[in-house]
Amino acid sequence: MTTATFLLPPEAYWSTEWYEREQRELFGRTWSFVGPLDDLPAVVEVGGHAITVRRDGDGVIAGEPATADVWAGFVFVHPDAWTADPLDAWLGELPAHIGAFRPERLVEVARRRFEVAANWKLYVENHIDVYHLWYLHEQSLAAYDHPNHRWRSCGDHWVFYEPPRPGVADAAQFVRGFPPISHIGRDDWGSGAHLVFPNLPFATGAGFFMTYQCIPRGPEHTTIDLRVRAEPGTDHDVDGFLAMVSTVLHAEDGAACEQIQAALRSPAFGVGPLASQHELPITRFHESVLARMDEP
Amino acid sequence: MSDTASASYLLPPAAYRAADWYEREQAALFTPRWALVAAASELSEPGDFVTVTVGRAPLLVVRGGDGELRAFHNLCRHRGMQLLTGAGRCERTIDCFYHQWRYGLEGDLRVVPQRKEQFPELDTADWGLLPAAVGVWEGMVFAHPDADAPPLARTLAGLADSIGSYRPGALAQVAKVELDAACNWKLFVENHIDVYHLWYLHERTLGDFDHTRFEHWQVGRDWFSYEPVRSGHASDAALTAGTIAIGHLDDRDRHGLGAHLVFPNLMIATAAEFVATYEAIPLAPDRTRIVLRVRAEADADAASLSASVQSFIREDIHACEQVQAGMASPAFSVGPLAVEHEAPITAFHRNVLSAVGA
Repeated sequence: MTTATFLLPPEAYWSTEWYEREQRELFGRTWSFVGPLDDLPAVVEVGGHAITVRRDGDGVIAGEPATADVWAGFVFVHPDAWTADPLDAWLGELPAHIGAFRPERLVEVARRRFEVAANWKLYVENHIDVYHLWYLHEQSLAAYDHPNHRWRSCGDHWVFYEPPRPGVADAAQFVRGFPPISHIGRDDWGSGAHLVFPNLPFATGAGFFMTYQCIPRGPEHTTIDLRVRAEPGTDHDVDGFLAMVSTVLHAEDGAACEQIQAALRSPAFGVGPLASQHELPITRFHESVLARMDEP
Repeated sequence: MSDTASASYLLPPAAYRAADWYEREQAALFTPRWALVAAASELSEPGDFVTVTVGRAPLLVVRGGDGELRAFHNLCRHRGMQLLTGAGRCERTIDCFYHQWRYGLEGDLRVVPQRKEQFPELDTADWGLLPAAVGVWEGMVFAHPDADAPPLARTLAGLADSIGSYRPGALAQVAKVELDAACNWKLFVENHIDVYHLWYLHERTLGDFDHTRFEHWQVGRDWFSYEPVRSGHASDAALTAGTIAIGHLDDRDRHGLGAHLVFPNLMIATAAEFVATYEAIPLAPDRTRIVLRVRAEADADAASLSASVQSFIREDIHACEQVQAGMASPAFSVGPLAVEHEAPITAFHRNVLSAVGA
């Protein structure tokens, strides 16, 4: 049994050397999210490579030596077609554990980018940290039943679900003005939070499916690219929804990451014991990062 | 007395612009130092706290329920989150907003939520806040990231010996102002210890003082100075006209101006009406925050004193920003220095070089 431990050293979050190694050895050797099919044609920067992606009949094609593929209406690229596992194999069991959502049947209703003065891994770690839900989000996520959450690792990826709190019957009311998605059942109306390794957190609720890719801009700078999909053909209160989401993802999570980032270079900085179950996903994430990188 | 052997500019332009110089200074000069963090009056009640980042180290200073002042690293022992921001008063405990780990004001870890299930092995006695050092001198609170730092009194010994009849602790902090300067911190310090510019840059603001009778002396790495007022009456000086003189000063201090440096970055200016401290805190190779605090008799006109002190500091900031901009030129260089009046700059450079190991 894995013990929950913080495996990465502080310099993994601030040094230029680490950042460059990661670009080469992690992002250069794995699938990266591009966006929905509607984005194509596109040129994306992945692991120091500029990759062109365009539609090709029913499929997608990337400039050599990269490769591209599609899952659930989302385009992914890998910089090296020779070593890439097929996208389906890479995603493994993840699609089977995110409920009945079919994001390709939804439409993009909002896109916002925001900047976080922190390393991208801090933002991912915060996303997969179950322990903080009770405390940092005490008010903003109070409608959910944290003790009844469940999570599992799917290869390098991670899935999580928690139902609405007992007594809070209609989960759709948490998401003002977003009608429930017609193709999902009530057992998907809670809060889903998932990670496609390494840097694509996504979240689901009764009325929405949203991705928030953590795009590394430098060792201490990340752009969060939030894209929200919802049922087509209805009026959505996008402003109300974004206000709620930005409280959680920006004002709370983003600020927490920045507060840690600003402490990382203290000679006294250290991480203590982690919650044996609630923070174990962080250990798994570190293992996945380290497994891809060469010995320094 | 000051070193007049060879006044020369020893540091290269890179020392004022390059990121690696900045990093080395953060590690060698700014993290291991006693930093001025507050007036004792800001920390008078149990739970009162201030936060400060000393070099790379975020610290908090808090008065305990027992009345003791303590400094800790401002880091939750769980994930390294900064616990407190700004300044204020804690109600009996210091709580981490991330996962609600709770510490007593004495640094002991008291509450770990879901501990039985999630941290079955954890002994709270092992995970109290990491201590830093705190010291108080003349109503001013200093903190050092190293709990075993050399005593504050040793760092301030030269100042205590050279500050004359001033007792800053008997005065009140009447103003605190932060000024940002687009220059390297060293330019601001060099300007402070440059005697030569007093006649010219400060022709009006400091024109009532007799620069020809300027005395200055070095104690270890620190630098001290004194000059008398020209007319014989400091109260006639335009600098502080109309403000209340400090009651406890002797004759010399009532009629003069002091300017001091506690290496590397704590500057002090004294006059008949005020004691000003201003720390130059590096934010980037070409960006510095000047944290100015003015102490005076409690009923002094704070606004007018603060404006007086800022009048010459703003002249200094402007000059330093102009030099910083000039340093970007491939033609930038420093020529001969005034043998006596600029010798303190050479001594300062030697101390920087020896600390940074360049």
